[in-house]
Amino acid sequence: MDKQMAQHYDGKVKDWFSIFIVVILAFFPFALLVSFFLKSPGVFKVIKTPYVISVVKFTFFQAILSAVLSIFIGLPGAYLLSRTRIPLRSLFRSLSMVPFVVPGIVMALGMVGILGRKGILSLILSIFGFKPRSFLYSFWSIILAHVIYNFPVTIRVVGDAWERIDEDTVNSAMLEGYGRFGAFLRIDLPLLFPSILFSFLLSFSYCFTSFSVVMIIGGVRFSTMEVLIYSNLRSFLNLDVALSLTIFQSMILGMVSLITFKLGGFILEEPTKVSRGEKIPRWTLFYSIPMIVFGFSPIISSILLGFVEHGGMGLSNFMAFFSHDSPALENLTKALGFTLFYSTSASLFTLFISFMAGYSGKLIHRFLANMLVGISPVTLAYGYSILGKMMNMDINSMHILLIPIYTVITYPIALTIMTSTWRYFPKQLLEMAEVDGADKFQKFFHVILPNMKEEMISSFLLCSAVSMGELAATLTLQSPDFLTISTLIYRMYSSRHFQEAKVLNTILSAMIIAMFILGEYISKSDEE
Amino acid sequence: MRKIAFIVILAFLIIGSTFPQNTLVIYTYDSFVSGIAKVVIPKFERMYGCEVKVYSFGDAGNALMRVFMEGDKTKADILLGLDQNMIIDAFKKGIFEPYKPLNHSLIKYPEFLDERWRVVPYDFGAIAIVYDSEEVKDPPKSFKDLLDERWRRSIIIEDPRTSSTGRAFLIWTVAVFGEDGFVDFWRKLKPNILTVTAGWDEAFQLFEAGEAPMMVSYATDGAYSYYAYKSTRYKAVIPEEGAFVQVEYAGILKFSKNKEFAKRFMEFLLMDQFQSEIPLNQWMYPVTDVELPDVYKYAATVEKILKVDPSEVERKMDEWINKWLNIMMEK
Repeated sequence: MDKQMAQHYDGKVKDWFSIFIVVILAFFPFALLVSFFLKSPGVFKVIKTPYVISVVKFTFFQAILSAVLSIFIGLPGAYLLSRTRIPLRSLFRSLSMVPFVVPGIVMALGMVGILGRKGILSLILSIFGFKPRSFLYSFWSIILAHVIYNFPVTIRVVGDAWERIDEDTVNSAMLEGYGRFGAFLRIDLPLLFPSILFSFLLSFSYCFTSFSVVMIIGGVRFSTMEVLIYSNLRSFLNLDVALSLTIFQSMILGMVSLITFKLGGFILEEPTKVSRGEKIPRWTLFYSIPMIVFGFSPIISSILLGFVEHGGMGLSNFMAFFSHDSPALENLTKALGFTLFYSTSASLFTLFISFMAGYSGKLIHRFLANMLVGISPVTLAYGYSILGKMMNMDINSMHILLIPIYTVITYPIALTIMTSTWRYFPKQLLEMAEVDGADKFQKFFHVILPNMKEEMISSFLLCSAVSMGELAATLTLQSPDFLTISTLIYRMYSSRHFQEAKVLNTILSAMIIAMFILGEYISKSDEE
Repeated sequence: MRKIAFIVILAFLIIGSTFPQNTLVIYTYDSFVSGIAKVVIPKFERMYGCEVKVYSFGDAGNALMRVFMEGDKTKADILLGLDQNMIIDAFKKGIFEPYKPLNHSLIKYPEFLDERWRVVPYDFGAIAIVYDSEEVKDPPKSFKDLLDERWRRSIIIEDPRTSSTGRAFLIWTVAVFGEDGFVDFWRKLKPNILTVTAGWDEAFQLFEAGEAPMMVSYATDGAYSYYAYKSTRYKAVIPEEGAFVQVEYAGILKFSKNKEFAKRFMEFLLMDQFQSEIPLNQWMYPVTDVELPDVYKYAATVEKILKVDPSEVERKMDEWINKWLNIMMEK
């Protein structure tokens, strides 16, 4: 009884600790900003205007449609990865990280490479005598782009749950005369429902806050709430409108997470043996080829950017980059140092908090995390610069505040991974260790770490990758002696050093992709 | 663990150094820091024996926001880089200390001046239509030409809500067609717009990827293209109705702790040492009578400057943007 009490108490401490940290790191600076600038309760006044109403409706509509379609497109992939021994498994899995790390413009350029006027599709059609044309810039191209960037999320989240469905249950349904699809509807689907809802939530939140993809790919007519928030934030006198909209957006995302979890319930099934014994179906090839082409387009375009030059491909950008007076090369080491230091420090911190929060898997953590998705990084950075001033921090050292900012930005992603890791963690091992008299540290180093190492590393790498690419908040808190790769890219673009900017983009993408491959390699070696 | 803690503390200490006494602090936008500042700041430091720290927070809007948030605790002496529309916001907050530079007579354009000398103009640029000459053989000469059917889905513009280039283009159309006519112009232009991007960078990347043969950009793009790539492929054209110029200003902040150096810097902005560096670093035009470099023959020429009253822009910008939005939202 005492032991149970102690465990219960321990869980509570972990819960409260992580909630406390999240509130302090994220909601406190935000509240500070609100208390300074939101003089009148403008929330409802702003939201009642017809234009804002139409934007909110559109934001909901496109996010729901994109998320639902992403699930439909992702389910076959989830099946292939979880139930069969399909080759290139880790390749597909690594795709699921793409939407979280690749910046919107790079994603859009990936789409341009396939569906643009000089894209692959246009090129193929021109062989048959069609005039080159772009297939982008419409409502459906926004949905297409969102689906392309989100179906891998379904593959990963639903796939992880699917591989834990008992093979015998499925087989017995098939013995009763149902085909594989019939068995899927009766057995797999109900069991997968919570994970499908969770995947819906992740894709929905991503599409809800989508900004550049909607603007660039959608064209003139379309705006999401994030576009409105950004444009009001940029306008000096409209900060209160931006803050009102941010509060509203954040509340919506929090509420959506509550509703999804209430509908889906919590998945706390016992870990079972992973089985991948099913036959690879005939449709595999038809499904996989377009998925790989589309799914990898943003990564490929971000890597290739450095080679794109005036009227073709070549190495001239690299030659400019490595020339002796290149401003990019001059700052590269410093930028690399800062980027690595800040992204890894923040990621370690994020890992720690999400480790605590993921333990109980309580709804409150997901609710808070989803609210954070609704607060744009630049808003957060404004809040932190007020905090920095209040603490009398020197302007040259204020960039240290990027550690908590990156932590807040990456927390929702890390929480997703750590919650699922804890869910499948054999907790009886902890009890057994306790029976053997292990203390907290021994439990951590001898039981938890060996079992969770891979997920922790992959979560750490993912958070680092996201922090490395962060631009908006980093720009807001920069100082002359401080810069990161992403701010250096921005600086190169804005001073018309396009060639250097493109090469830096390639370097950053290569770093991020290398981290993914490393993370996936570690996970894979775990499975084998 | 202790080692790591030590390194972290050491890093904080190194990063957190404080300002020496005779330091002039400038808040500005990013390309100023990575471009012209590297050439001109050392000159100023040598001339006056002081240290200059230049901070950027992204674009000029962010720098202004920073000054506003820091209030009387600001470290900045000078805010540099606001255009004629942004200074109206800044004037409302009363953040500048008026100062008339001793060499003010060097400024060639009286229309750029602030009558109370709260800010000083140091350069200006013009918005233009930039086109790919390999695809466009007969570029539009006027705004009316831009409406031609042959340009269906052919031009990329920037959103006036998120981009200063986009905002300037919208104001330009108001200046050309007046408050009554610009709505009609945009309605007719809409089928020729391929897409609207959040910023200039995105527009340029799409343009370079060949998505459209024209984009809204700057008059000096052709000169830059020749200077950097020896290519005359991208050319800029200013429609015959006249140019809309963006003037950039600098001003001394009311809470500056170093006003004497700040005043000298205002004068320095108008000296040849600064002005002659503008064309090839800022890719803008100088405000004094310095000679333009040879590559500027590839820039679109500014023959007629359209007059727009900044206070009217300030008063009506939201209304114009809303009208623009309504047209864009129409099916």
